[in-house]
Amino acid sequence: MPLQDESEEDKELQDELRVLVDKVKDSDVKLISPALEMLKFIIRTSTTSMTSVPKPLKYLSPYYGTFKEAYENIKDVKVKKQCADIISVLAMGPTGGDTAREKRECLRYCLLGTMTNIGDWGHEYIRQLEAEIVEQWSVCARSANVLLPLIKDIIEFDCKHHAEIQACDMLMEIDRLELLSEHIDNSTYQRICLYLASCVKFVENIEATKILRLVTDQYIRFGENTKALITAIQLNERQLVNKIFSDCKDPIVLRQMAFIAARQLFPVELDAQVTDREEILNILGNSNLNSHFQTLARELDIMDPKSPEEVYKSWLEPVPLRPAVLGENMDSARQNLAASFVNGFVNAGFGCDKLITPEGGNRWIYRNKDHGMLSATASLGLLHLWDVDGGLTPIDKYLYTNDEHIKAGALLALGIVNCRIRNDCDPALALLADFVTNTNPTLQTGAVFGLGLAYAGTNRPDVLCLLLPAVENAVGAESLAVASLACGLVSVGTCNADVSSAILSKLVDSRDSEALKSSYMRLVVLGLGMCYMGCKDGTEATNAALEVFAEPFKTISQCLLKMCAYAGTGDVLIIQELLHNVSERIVLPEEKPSKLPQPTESKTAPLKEKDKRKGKREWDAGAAQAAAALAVASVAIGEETGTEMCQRILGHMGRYGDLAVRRAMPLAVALTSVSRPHLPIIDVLTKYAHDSDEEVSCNAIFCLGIIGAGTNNARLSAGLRQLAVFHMRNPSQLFMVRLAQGLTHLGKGTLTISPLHTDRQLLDPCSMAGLLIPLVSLLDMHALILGRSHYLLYALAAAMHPRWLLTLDETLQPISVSVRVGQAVDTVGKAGTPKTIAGIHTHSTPVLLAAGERAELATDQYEQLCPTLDGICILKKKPE
Amino acid sequence: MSYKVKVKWGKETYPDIEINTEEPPMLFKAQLFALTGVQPERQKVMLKGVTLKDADWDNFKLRDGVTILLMGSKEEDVPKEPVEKTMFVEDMNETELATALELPPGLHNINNTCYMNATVQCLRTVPELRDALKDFKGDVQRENDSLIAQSITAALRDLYTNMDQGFTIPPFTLLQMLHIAFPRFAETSEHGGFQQQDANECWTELVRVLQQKLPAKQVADNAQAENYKSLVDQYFGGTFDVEWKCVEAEDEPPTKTKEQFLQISCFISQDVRYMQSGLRSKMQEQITKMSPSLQRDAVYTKTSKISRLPAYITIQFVRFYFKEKESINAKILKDVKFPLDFDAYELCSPELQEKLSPMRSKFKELEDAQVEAATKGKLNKNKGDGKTKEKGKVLPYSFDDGGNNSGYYTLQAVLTHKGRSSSSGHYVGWIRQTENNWFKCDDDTVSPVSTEDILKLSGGGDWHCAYVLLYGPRILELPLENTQEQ
Repeated sequence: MPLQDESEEDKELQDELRVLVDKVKDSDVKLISPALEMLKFIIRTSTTSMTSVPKPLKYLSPYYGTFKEAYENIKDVKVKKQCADIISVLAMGPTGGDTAREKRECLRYCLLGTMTNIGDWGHEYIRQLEAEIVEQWSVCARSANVLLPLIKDIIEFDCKHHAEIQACDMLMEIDRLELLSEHIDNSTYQRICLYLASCVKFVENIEATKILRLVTDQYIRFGENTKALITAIQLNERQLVNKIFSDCKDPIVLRQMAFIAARQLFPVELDAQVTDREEILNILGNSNLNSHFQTLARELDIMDPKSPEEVYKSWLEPVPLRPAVLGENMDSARQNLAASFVNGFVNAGFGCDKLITPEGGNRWIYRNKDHGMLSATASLGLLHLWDVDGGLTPIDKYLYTNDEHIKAGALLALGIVNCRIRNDCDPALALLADFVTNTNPTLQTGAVFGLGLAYAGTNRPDVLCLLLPAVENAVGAESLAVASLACGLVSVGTCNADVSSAILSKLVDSRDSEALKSSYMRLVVLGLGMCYMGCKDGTEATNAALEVFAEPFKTISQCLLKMCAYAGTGDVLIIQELLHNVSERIVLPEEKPSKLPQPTESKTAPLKEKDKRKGKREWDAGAAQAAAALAVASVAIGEETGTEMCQRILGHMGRYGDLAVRRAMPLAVALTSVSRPHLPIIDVLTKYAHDSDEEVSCNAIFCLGIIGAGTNNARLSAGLRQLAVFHMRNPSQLFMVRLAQGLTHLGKGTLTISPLHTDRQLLDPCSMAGLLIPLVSLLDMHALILGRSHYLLYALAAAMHPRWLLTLDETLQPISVSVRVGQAVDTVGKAGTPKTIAGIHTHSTPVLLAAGERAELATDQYEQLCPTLDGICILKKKPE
Repeated sequence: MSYKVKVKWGKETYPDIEINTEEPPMLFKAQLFALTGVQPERQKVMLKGVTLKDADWDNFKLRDGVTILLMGSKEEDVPKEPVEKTMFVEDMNETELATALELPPGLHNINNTCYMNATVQCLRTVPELRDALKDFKGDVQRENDSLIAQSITAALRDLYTNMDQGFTIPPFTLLQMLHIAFPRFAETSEHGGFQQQDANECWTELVRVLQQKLPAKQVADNAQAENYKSLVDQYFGGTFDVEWKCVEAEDEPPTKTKEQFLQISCFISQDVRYMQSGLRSKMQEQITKMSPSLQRDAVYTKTSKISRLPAYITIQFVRFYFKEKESINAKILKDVKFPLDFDAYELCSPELQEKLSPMRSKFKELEDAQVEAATKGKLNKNKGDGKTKEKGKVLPYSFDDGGNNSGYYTLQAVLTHKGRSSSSGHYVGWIRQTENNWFKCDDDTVSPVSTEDILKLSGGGDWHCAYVLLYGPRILELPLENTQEQ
């Protein structure tokens, strides 16, 4: 220690300390206690800058050993404890050195000490104790009893001194979160709950549940019903949600809660005696979704229908050569099919368009071919989306036609109209039920898929009673797939045992048949998976049941199951498992019975030989890898950091992966950024949209539509127009470009298909299912979307929702207030009251919110009942 | 039992409707018909996920005040299939597609005969030629070599007839006759097949044959027209007024001659970047010849001016020159731009220029009117849809003798070569269908291309280079609107 640097004052302090230490060492018992008191006083009162070690501690450090010896020699219990306190403090930081830290001497001597007023030693000391407690706990669980009193003290100190987050951290480490609740009070619960809720994504399942329960309890305790509801929905516990509803006495809050539950399509059982039960049921059933949406549309002045041509802005493309010479009665079926979809997407929910609803719209339907007619007719459902009152009649007449495709399309349309809406009369069930058992496979397909969409997320037994026989009696792979998807949609996220056993037994029946190789079989498994959407470990039994299949179907189906079960959980372990699957190519059993996975590099050659050898239906060698890649994205959504990491890894897959992985990669990237056209993502996908492999480019193009869905993003639109020119002569890619253009202008830019809502806290399983169906179908586009099963794209209807902030007054009438809208800022764990949004614009409601945006009230006249301003929010006028 | 229920039909609600379950459901439906006008058989009455049967109320769980949903439309119309079925591009085979798109038929390549295919396709764009061929009566005489010209003409006629029917065929007979008439075309290469030939040679030979065989078209009762023996002279032939002026003997009076041409050549020298300058450079040249006044060889200036413009002017780019060292016809790849609309005015003799001016002023008038209309009529902009415009009155493009009367031409066919020498590479014909639509006739594959693609044929690289251009007359079309509106 360079002495010359030290000032007079320091020398004095050093001398004083030396004297005190000498006294402690001394045999004079009486002097020890006052000396210790004095030392304690000096240490506590020493104040230095935040960044350096307090002087007394620094000067005392050479005597650490001396103190320990002295401690052993002291006989008096009280004095011994005093001494232990000092040693404990000295053990912190550089004084004690590494050995002290390894032996956790800070904690050890603290426990030997007085254990009173530990907070007096300051935050730094407490941090050190916390760290050592956590270590000790993990080494030896038996020390719990000894540690608990200390832990309680620390928590109390933390909660009183703005260190709640550290308390949470420690308790989560030692898994004794229940200790926290008694220390939470009115002033701290918000910070604590916010922090805990944000930790949920990073902990394993059981702990997450525990944390969420605690948070919910706290919210209920402090009367935050809406927040409690949101966490209860995250928990996916019906009892809890029902309880929150029945405990809530405020009729307006009740309505607000109903709006939140309705956005998630969460089935709530209301008490019979609730006042205005009818009205709340209406809210829960989304009955007014269409009329609210129309309000928004009128407010934004976008009621005029748009034609596909206006979406393509084809006058900006150079003169197309073919259509110029095409006559009135000659068309490209593929382009017309695309136009049918685009027309539906763009005018979704508006009830009018320029192709089908005007006089002579039938002619348009007949300008499509076979299954194209089905999809064209079904687009009527999108046009009248959510409009159960007004939307059924215009579709009615198509039920009287003799053409099976049109009739099937009309059935599907009826289902789409009822998507997300619960109506007391159940028109979808009444109208479609008869056709479920129809012998005509096309009609049956329309009715079954329609029912699936109409009752998505309801888990209604009467609907399943109709659909399960359709699974059991399904003949072809296609009808089995559609029936399975419908069942999956209806029972989404419920782990319904009837559904899963019905689908599983059907799968097992075709275990050794060629049918298993059909692309439709993947959709069958997807149906099974959707039943377990978000159920995490609830899939163990099913997963085990899938073991009976031979590779690669086993891995394909298990990946699909994981994709659904862990959708949006951000579970890192599952992502790692899946990434493992992506990197490993499965050796087909016929070739190598050992089934040993080999490193990817050495594999390409033998597989190619094999392709030549087999003539019949071929297993797509990379199908399992592709499914796993998509599953990675599905698990990662909803958690920012994880999503970003996945996007990077997916980038590598696109560069170095096998062809099958490269094909799946755009789909996966899009899934991580649905309705969120960030520039880097647009760039990546645009690059792959020019890929030489047809399927890679088709997928990338479609995915440009997915990431831009409902945004009207100008840059994306311009890019898509360029792609339209680039792919002028490639009908498949051009078809995809058109679809992507339609999706970008979904609902004229008012809708989103992102499953995340309520400030990205909740993941709507129905939306997720609606998204996954087309994405999984695109893993083999030629057999499905580019084949005749393009109607699967209508599953997106289940994911569609206005991306709005609609404010209602207490009588549920729309009101206009000014709000600030900006990019959401993560404020978890930040000190003080930080700004929650950045880059603010002020608008008056109703207003459209882009993904990642947040709104806050810009007026003092109202207060919000919903913790997050998105979707439908009720505002309460503040008393003057 | 009797209930009071609410019936919802579309956006309308009818409260307090009486239902008597003693009576058959049909009666209730009749009641609804009275209210809504929906025929009972088209009514779907729904309650709690079931539809009402016509026979009984059994499945309907009624109670007072319940809402019943009625679905059904008033209109009688059931969507009907349109009488005329839509054809889909995807369903058609190649020929059907070609007919639908009005693609001209292609010609199969029989062993390096693309030079002939391209020539045949380009010449086919001349309607007068096709008409004349149709009227040609001779037959293919395989045995008689002396009638070979007639045979070639007949073979070409038969070929065009087949093509008019939309068949893509191999032009065997024509090739055979051509080989008999011009044995050099029948040369075989070391690989056994026929040798690639110079398409322009083929072009000129064909035109010459036709010149012998096709009689001039009778234009009304005009004496002048009969001056032309042949249709080719009438529509393809032009005349140069040539003036020889001796540079070394000032006193020697210039001699004037006339030269006939079927084709004008565009020579490509270092500084030629545009077709016009290439043409101009050959209009005046220095030639050494025997001078009668000096009694020795002297340098003469030869100045050529066109005194008769043909209706169809063929311009050959002199892209090939014989390289003695390698003894091949090497190619000049230089980029020489050619216009879509060509004005031959500056190449004409003063007399002809005078004759051209009345027609030219009519063109000018129309253009001015159009410019004016465009500036005025920006408000009622028609989305550039050419089809809706009415056909105007077409003025004749030629003098009575078949010569162009304005000097304005428009490109109608391009014969291109791709490769490095005339006896190798590939020839393709590009023909115009309408204003902006062109077809690329690459042997048996015909595909639509745009005007931009045509302008890209100007050379300068290894892409197809224009070799022979065929300009047709620009047609003056007086719009009818003028007379109607004012």
